[in-house]
Amino acid sequence: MEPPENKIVKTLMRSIERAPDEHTQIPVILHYSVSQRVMRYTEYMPGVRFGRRYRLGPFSQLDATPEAIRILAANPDVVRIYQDMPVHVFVDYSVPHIRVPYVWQQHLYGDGVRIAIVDTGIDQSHPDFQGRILNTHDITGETVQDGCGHGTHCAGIAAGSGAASKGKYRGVAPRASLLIAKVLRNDGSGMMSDVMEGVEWAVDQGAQVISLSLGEACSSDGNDPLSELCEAAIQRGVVIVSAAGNEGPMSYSIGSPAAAPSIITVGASSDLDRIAEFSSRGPTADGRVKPDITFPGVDIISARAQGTSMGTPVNAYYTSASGTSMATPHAAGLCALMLQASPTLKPSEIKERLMSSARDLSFAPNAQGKGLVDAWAAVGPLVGNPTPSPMPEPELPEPPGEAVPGMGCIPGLIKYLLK
Amino acid sequence: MTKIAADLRQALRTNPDDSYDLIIRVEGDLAERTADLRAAGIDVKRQFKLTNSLQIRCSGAEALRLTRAGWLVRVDSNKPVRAFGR
Repeated sequence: MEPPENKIVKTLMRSIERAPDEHTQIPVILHYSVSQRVMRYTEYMPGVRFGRRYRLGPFSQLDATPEAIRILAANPDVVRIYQDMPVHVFVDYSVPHIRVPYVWQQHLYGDGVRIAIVDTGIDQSHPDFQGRILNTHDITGETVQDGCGHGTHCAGIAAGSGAASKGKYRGVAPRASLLIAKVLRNDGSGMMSDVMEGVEWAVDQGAQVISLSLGEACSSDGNDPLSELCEAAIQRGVVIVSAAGNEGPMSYSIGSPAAAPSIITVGASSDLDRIAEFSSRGPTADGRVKPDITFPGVDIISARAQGTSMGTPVNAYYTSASGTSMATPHAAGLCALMLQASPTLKPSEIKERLMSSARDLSFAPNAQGKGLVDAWAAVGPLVGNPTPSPMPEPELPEPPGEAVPGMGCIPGLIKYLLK
Repeated sequence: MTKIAADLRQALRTNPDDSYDLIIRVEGDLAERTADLRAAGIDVKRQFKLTNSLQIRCSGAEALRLTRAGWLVRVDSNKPVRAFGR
């Protein structure tokens, strides 16, 4: 029989050791054998506050004191005890989830394609962008250094190399070139005219894809100066992706520039393929269906600008954040891969290809657009639809900074329950 | 298409002495329009060549006068935007 101390995973053991006293309640997930005895046992056990039992597997959630955890570990019906922890979706989950690695197998990494991130600037010292920032432009007067973290996070999703994580948190187009326009101040706000200048600058710089994880909060019909300027840029052959906004689940919550007809408007989905509640819903003020498509946008871990605290920092180089802002640069990166595969594609062709290859998530069109993007379905035909090598099933990640042997703590539990 | 939204027109009329941050779309050469507007005392902040537009700052009364110009296509308020991440 396994020694009791081996049933307690390392992360939980550390929490027990660091508990300020023996009365501290630590949230845990209990994995027990098929026997129900342990269930009844824990409900009345001193030092245990029973939480819930899961129907799909032999697990329960409870809060327990360090002593109670040790007693539980000694129970022969207990298989393992995990610490209950917040779960994040890493770029290394969201990117495989939309089948980008199949595209990488075709040696498409965005090489030479220019993506403009029009946002809060960038941390130019971040290892994930070294040697790929072609030019920067600051409109705010604050310098292009990202004092917010939003722009750096978005740039990491679109084109981060993952250098600071040994490739783990690699963006969608990890070899694309970056143009950075800082149009939002470090508090994340700016004016429509600032964004317009940023878009014009990006066009002048030869951007092929422009990523706009920003906008106004109220409903638009697409007849406003920013939307029209984006339309003009698209007419010149530049692909523009725009966040739908975070005003959901109310309908008519798509603002400018997301309401522009030719722009690719991006909603956000969760790792369970549900539309994020915050994701703005259509129709536009003039009754058109928006968003156009959905990308992952909940709890995405990507590059963190030095010294910033946006989202939930994971370590010095990465942070977790949510929003249609996070979904949008996934789209920008994928557009770059498509342009590398077929440089003559027009913006309208890219949009059509993305939408027609999306996977229907069975939500209303004004919530999901055409559904969740499928990168391989969008790019595969451009490269002759080769049969890709089997892609490992995307692993749900370990909690930040934690390495747990065995089934891998909470992500493993989730996988078990989902199966 | 109307040159100015009804609510903006109403605001300009109600507060003609207030200063407004506006984006105007014009016909004709952008540099010439800019020079004309500056000569008329209007602060031209930026030019947007993709849409032949200008960002200007002027009083409500001046903005209403502009709407009568034949070369003016449209007037909009310059609105705040923000990042959509958290």
